[in-house]
Parts: sequence; structure tokens; C-alpha cells
Amino acid sequence: MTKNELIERAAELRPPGPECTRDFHDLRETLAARVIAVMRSREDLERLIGAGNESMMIDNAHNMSRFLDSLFHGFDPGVLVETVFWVFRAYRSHGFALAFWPAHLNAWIEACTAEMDAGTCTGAVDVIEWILVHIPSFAEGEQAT
Amino acid sequence: MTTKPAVTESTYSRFLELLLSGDRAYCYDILEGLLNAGVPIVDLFENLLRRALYRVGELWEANRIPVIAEHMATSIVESLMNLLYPHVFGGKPVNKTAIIACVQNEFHQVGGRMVADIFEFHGWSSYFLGSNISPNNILPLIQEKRPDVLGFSVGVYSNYVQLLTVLEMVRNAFPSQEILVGGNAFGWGGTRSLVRFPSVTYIESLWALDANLRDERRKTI
Repeated sequence: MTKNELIERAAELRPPGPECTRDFHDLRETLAARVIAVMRSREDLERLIGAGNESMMIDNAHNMSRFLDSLFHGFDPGVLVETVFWVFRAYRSHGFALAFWPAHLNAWIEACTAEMDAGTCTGAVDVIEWILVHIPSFAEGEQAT
Repeated sequence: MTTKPAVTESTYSRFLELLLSGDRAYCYDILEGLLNAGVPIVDLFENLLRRALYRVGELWEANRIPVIAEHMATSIVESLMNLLYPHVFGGKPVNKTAIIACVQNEFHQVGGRMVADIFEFHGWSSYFLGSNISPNNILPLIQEKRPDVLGFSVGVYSNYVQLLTVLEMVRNAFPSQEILVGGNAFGWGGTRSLVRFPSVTYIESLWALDANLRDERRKTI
């Protein structure tokens, strides 16, 4: 799938509503902390992130929380797709395995489901699931760029 | 026909090489040579300093340099800007004031500094507040200085929400305040949400800012 096709697909996502956006904003640090704890508890962490990369993984979780917060406040499919491509390129070149992303994104989905209001978390989860489902396309594109 | 003095590819490449090796003195020699040759400040900012720093960022992204090399390059560029400072002045004063700040959590401050310098170059009084500025600290300053223009620099998109927060606060307190926003955060989009702020204008580059200020000055002559 090309970058433009990914952007077209992302444009079909329903942007998180105001309640979801507010809930995510208020909880973003709690969510990031939960994701970090889940990732740190994994026995295969070093295989996923490479040796000596734990602080980079922690930064990534905090950056992800701030990125999604920003994205939900003014959803832009181009920003979503370009940023995910950038993150894949940068983190992969620093030793993160492709398998890191499903583990990380699933931890985010689990954190949103557990911490956010059940009625509002869907908007956030939908966006994260969208990235998760399109990992193969991002990985393909990363090699092409 | 005369050729406009410019930053050539070979000069840029040499500058980048020296920047990556941490050679501040030779970086300055190059900068000074270009300045003496008549290359405009805005071209030095865009075609040499900004371009080199973006390239340094790409090299970190590709894991070809450590993060410390990126910090060193940024520090050298900031020190070069200090040396350029006397050349920034010289424009006829226009009796206008600009306040420029990086939004909260934004630690990439070079772009904002360049913006403040471009204002100075065009005769404005500019106040550059630096990185990671809390909205609560900006409002009293606006009240005190009553700037003609307020500018916010956002280097990474993750800080976009901080921009929206400060724009809301300024709009509520000073509804007619003219505001400029810009920065690398907008490289992939994000300007559409700004339409809800009628007094906000997105400036896509230092060249665009330079041209706007030049036009404005022409109109007042």
C-alpha cells in the first residue's frame, strides 16, 4: 500500500469525539506509565527493543501519549501516516524490532480500555487499532523510503 | 548580469561536515565569509543553519550519529547566531514589537530565535522568551508589552496540543491579538485546525516572514 493510499484509508477513520479527546488528554501520563510498566514486565523486552534501548522506549511511550493527544485535538490523516512512518524508520534504525510495534500498540489498547471511560475510549482505540492493522504497510513503506 | 550571493552546495556540505565534527571556529569562518560576500541573513538561516540542523536530525534518525552530536550541532548553531547578532540590527526602527516563544514542552528553540532575529532585522523590537514557555507566564507579558505580533514556534507535532491551549488562553484574554505560528511541527500538516482562530496566521518559512515584513515596511514608507 502506498503512502497516499494509507492517508486515504486514515481519512476514513472517525476522529475521536470531544469526550474521548478530553478523557485521553487528562489521562495521557497515566496511560503512558501503564504502557511502560507492561512493556518493562515482558521477558522478551530486549529482543523487542534491542540492547540498551529502554530509555528510548520510555521516551517513545511519553511521545506517543503527547502525539495522540495532539492528533485527537485536530485530526489530520497526513500527520498520522507521516509520523508513523517517521517513528518506524527512526526506531527501527536504532535497533527496535518490527515485533515491538504490535506489543506496544496492544499495550496502548489495553491501557485505554482499562483507564478510560468505557463509553469514550472507542475513538482512541480505533486510531491505535488502525495503526496496528497497518503495520505491514508501514514496514513495507519504511523499506521503500 | 550579476549573480545574487548564495550558499552553494559545496559550502553547505563543508559547513555540515564541520558542524558534525564540532568545529565551531571553522563553522564561523564559513558563516562570516558568506556574510561578507553579501548573503542575506534570512538565506544564511534557511539555506545554511536550518538546512544543516534538519540534516543532523535525519542522520540521528538513521542512527548514523549519536544524539549527543545533535545536541552539539544545535549548541554550535546557537553560538553562531550570537555572533551574527550585530548583523541582525541595522534596520530602520519601525516602532513595533513582537514577542516570540516556544510553546510549553517545546525544547527546540533555534527556529523561534531565528524568527525573533528576522523581526529585529526589519527594525522591530523583539522579545524572544526561549523554550518551554508556560501560557501563564505569557499572558502578563502581553498585558505589559502590548505586542503588535505574538509568535509561537512548535518544533514537534506532539506539542501541537500545547499550542492550541495557549491560543485559547490568548484569544480569551486578548481577542484581537495578532498571532503567528510556525515550525517543523507543521511539516506534515496540522494547520487546518487553526482556522478556528481568526487572528492566527501560519508562516511556513523564514522567507515568508521576511517577505511579509518587507512588504509591510514598504507600505508604511
